[in-house]
Amino acid sequence: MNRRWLWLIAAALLVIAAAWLVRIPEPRAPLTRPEVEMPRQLRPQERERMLSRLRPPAVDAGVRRNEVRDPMLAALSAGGSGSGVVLEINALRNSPLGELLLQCLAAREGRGNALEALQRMGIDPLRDVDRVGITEHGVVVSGDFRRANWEGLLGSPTGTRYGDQGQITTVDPRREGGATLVATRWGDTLLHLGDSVEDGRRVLDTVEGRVPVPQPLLTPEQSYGELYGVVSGADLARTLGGSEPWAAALVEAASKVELHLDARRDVALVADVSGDDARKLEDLGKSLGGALALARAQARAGGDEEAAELLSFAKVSPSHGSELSVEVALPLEVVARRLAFCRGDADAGR
Amino acid sequence: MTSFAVALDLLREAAARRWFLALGLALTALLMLLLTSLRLEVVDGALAASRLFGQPLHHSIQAADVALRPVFRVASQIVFWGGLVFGVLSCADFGPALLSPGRIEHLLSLPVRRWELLAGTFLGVLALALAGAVYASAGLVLVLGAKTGVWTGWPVVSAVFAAVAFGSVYAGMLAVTVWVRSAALSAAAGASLVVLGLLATHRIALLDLMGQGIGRALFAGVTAVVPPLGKLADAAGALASSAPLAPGGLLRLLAGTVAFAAALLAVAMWRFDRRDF
Repeated sequence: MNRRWLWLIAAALLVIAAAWLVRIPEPRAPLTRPEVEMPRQLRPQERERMLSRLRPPAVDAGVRRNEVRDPMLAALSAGGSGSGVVLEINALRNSPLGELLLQCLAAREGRGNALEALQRMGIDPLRDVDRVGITEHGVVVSGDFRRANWEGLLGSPTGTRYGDQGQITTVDPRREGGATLVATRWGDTLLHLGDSVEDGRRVLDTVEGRVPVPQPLLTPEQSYGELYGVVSGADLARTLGGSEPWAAALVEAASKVELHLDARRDVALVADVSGDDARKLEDLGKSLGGALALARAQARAGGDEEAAELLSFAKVSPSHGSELSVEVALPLEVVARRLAFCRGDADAGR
Repeated sequence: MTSFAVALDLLREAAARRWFLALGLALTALLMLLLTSLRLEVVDGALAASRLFGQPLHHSIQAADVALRPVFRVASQIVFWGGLVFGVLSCADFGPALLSPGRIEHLLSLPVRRWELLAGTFLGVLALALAGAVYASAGLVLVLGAKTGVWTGWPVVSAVFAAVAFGSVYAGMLAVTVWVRSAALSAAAGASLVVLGLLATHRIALLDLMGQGIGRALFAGVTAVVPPLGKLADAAGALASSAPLAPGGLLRLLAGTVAFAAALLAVAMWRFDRRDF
């Protein structure tokens, strides 16, 4: 064969090879934000849930006629606390994180019995409890308590009536010690556990609309995520101290931190930090950014590529005047490993 | 070895041209500008603040390597597509110059095989493209690395992709030149291949939009062979920004592009062998 034709044969073979080779499978989709949606606002179902919780006040003295309020959030604001956190138990228990927490509770000695004890008294924490809110003035639990055995729980089936639907019961301390507990019930949907009758009355006055809600701790529009809340600067200082440089910077710069946590699959946390000193907030942003970058580097060094990749989505949006926003995402598997200590797993904490 | 001598000869010719001198100066000026005007503050591995020409750039505080990912991705795209356009325009004349009357007769009178002449010309242009792409990418890596402490070689690897992509386009330009000695036609062929490469990237979606017929069959046939340059550019960008890629897919894409270039070169050599000068 003429050597020149070999070029054509080679060209034909190479064209066939090229056509076969370039038909490649699509690249694997990189880990992107849709995997972990940052809680930034009410999702449609959360908006529906929020609207369904709004109630008009029982009395209209001092309250605008068109005003509606979420009894739970009103009760949390009643004490005038600067800090409060709400756990959406109902939403959380149906999430993978909720299952992990339940396994935790069930595995720990005594806690499982506590759950069972509550169930025996007519309150199934997994079914009847909707939300749990915590402030320095007590704990507020909302849900459906129509089947509750109040005598078993509080030592008395009824308490001192107060207001339209309120009852206040004082529970004496147990023999082994502890403080007096004041349980305030509002109908069959709200239970406040505090340490003074005054607190209980204040809660009922606020929920029933006899007094305007003081400075609201959380508005209904802020009730998104499976966990949300506000922590004051003073409480931050008490809780965090200054163990880490970023914690010290946070305590120094923040006057308030608003938290929202999405736990539908992987865990996404958004923290909006407010402060009065823009310079300190700027330093805080740098400290937090550095801490997150360090955590990512540590995850990578430890061979945890997925955690490292998700932590690469962590970012600190610098202050625009007096605010700073932090976004962090963690894969569920990492959270599960961190919770392994309370489930009694052999690889706890690794 | 003779091919390399031809390639070196072409590089000497390129050095004398203002196009490449201008490119080198522009890239150097751009890198120097970045070096002197960009201020990056890195705190514990996070890019905390940036200033360009003294003005603060507003961005989130993130791990420095994560914050630089989009920068490297965009730079990779600029090198890829900018390199293709610049290459098509500036290298269109090399083939016609090789075949110019007087010069080709002189070259053929030397102990050089015809295929070595073409291969040398192709290698010379490929070396030019590679040098330009790697210079730009490596320069950017060095500037940003010195300022942030983030050192990565992937943007340089992605620059090699840009050069390989241009190689497949230039092979087509060279093949056209051996038929018709025209710089304009060579450039037009290059531009057409770039457009075909883009169409091949979205081949399936475009075929879905077309009705049955000869046009569709022709489009399907041509775009089945032409390397999908958009995918190659995306792969280069993903590589530069450390994004995950399909295992093996990248190598196949590269191998397919090289095979396409080799096929066009083989056609050019077949024609060059038969042609009388």
